Amino acid sequence: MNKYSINSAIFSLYTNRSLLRSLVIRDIEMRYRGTTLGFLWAVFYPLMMLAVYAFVFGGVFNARWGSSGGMKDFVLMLYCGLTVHAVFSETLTRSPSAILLNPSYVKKVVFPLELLPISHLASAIFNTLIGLGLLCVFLLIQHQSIPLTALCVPLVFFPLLLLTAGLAWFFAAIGVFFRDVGQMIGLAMSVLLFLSPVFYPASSAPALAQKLIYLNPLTYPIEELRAVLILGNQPDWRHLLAYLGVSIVVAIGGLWIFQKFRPAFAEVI
Amino acid sequence: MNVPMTPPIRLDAISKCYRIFQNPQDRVKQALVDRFQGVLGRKNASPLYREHWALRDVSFELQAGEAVGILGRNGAGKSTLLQIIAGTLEPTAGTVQTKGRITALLELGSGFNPEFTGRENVILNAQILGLSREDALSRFDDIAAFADIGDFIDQPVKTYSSGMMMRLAFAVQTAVDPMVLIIDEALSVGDMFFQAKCMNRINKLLDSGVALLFVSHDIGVVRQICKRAILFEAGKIRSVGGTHSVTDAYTKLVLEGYNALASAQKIHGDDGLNYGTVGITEKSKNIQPNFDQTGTNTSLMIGYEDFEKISAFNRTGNFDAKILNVQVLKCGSPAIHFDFDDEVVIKVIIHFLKDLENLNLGIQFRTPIGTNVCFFDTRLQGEFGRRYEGGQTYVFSWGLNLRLQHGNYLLSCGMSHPPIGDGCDWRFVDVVSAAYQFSVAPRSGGMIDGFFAPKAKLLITAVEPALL
Repeated sequence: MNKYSINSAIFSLYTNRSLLRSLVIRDIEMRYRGTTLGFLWAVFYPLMMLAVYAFVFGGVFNARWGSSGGMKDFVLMLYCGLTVHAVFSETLTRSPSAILLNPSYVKKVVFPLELLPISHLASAIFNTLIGLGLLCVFLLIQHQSIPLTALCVPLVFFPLLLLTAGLAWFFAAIGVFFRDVGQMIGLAMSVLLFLSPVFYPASSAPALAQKLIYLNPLTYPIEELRAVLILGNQPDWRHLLAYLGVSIVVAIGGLWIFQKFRPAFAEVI
Repeated sequence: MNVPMTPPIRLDAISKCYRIFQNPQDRVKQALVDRFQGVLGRKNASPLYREHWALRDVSFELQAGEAVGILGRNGAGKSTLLQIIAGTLEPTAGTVQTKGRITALLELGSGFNPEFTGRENVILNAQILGLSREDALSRFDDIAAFADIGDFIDQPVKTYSSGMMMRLAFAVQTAVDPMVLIIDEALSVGDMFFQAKCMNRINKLLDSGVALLFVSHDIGVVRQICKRAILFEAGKIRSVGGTHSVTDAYTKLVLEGYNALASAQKIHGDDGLNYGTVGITEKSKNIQPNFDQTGTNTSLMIGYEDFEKISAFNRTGNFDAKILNVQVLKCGSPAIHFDFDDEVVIKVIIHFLKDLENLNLGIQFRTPIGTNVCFFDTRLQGEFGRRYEGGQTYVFSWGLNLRLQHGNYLLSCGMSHPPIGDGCDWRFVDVVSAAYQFSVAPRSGGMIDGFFAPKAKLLITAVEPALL
């Protein structure tokens, strides 16, 4: 019945998958078009960032992972955190302007607008895949093997991506009406980089913060990624399931709000 | 074949109300208030918006293969209606039933992303309209060939001229097998050759059963394409019917608008009329009774505001005399749309501040790109040496037949003193390079293939071979 229901949006993600593919391919191409290094940047950039963080935190501040472990372990753990944070912040930073920057898709054609935040998520996933590939290379260099539990990596990422999608829909819709959202998100993402256990293990946070840190949406994915990919432990299935439940609620909630505000987009932009 | 089918578009009692908010945040606040008002028990909080009804109770059907013209002044609700039909806007009330693919050229470049290249936009646009990527790719060559914009196809669309944008948009929108095609004021951008190409394709689509909604202020084109037309005024359908009667109603509506403006000026004469540095307000009030030569209810100051507006851009002279208004009259009232060979009267109303002699008043018709098509002045009419009295207002009237090619024209006029002796130069009194705009509709009996068709006599006789 309802033209802008949650079901119709989920259905449209499927029916418009070829359009989504075109949007994502173009988005990724655009980022490197005209550069001399081209796609090498996709590899070069995260490596440089990693080098800077490793130098500052591992080299200058002399941070080590837990009590033991050397500089190389620190880099592996750090990179897990950065990869998770990157997919989240990359998508959300772009989401408030996802609709705003495409007025012609709002006003002039019937465009499946729900694809726009998702296309940003998909191109962030592309970077994540590169990041995970690099991680595997590091692992091979470091430990000469990749634990079997690495097969669980998609399971660790899936709830995070659902959550990110939900928030991206939410901020895309809200960003149309409140332009401040774009500024706020940028700030929030920088703060989140330090409040999440990216540069330190969750267990080394002070006692009071121990409980709070698990309210951070990035804590579980970061910790679980480290567990399955580097330490070779099984994911904490109970945590994972709970996280998945929350993610589904957030995803549906975000999409619901997106669809709710959608008819007003054309009148505001 | 003749089974009655559901029409491609059926509108039933469509209304659209815009809530006008001071700022976008208020919209969200209002939404929250609407939702939680009941819960909080607080009622009748004053709304944060004004209501604007862009459309009220609009119903009509569009049949397959039918071309309908949509007419109306700015703000009459045309664009809102088209957006609702195209599906980009939700009506506040009423139902829209549509069948098949609807493609729309709303203003320019419908749905193009300015950062993408033409090629990318074509593929994406076709996919947005429901084609698969493979299908879109396979039609690309045809689309590019029709648009014919050369290497620009691989440049970002933001570098395009409006004409190129229109070419590409039209090529895409018509190449994806639409059921309904909506064209809003778009075709006028292209050059004549491309317009002809578009007409050709439009006619083909119509023949194949595509329905067309065509919005234009260019009555000539509407008459050429559409058999039926709908006139909107203030969000309501004012008249529906054959194109000719509806376009006439439209012209009348536009003129009534001018008249209302003119009478409003008469009421507020003192503050409404501002002649800048030349203080002749008192005098100009008396113009009408003295010089009304033609109709019963026309005024020489009708259209005065428009004249002031467009003439202000490029006006020079010493202003010893000032042109107050320029009108082109058809059947006694000012008009802007004409048919070929219409009998018109051009009136130039001039107020003289000084006694002036040796004065020439010239008039030119120019095309939008600046080609001078026609020229006449007072000397050509044998009018030399007249002495014009200072403080007096004169009307210069030319009667002529508009034997012009269809298109838009700009009338410019200027008053000047021709050089009297050798070494002397023209002295300009008041030269207005844009004084009046008008359009001429395509000649119904066949196109004029040149700017001007002079009145001529034709004699055809058979010749004896011996005489050759």
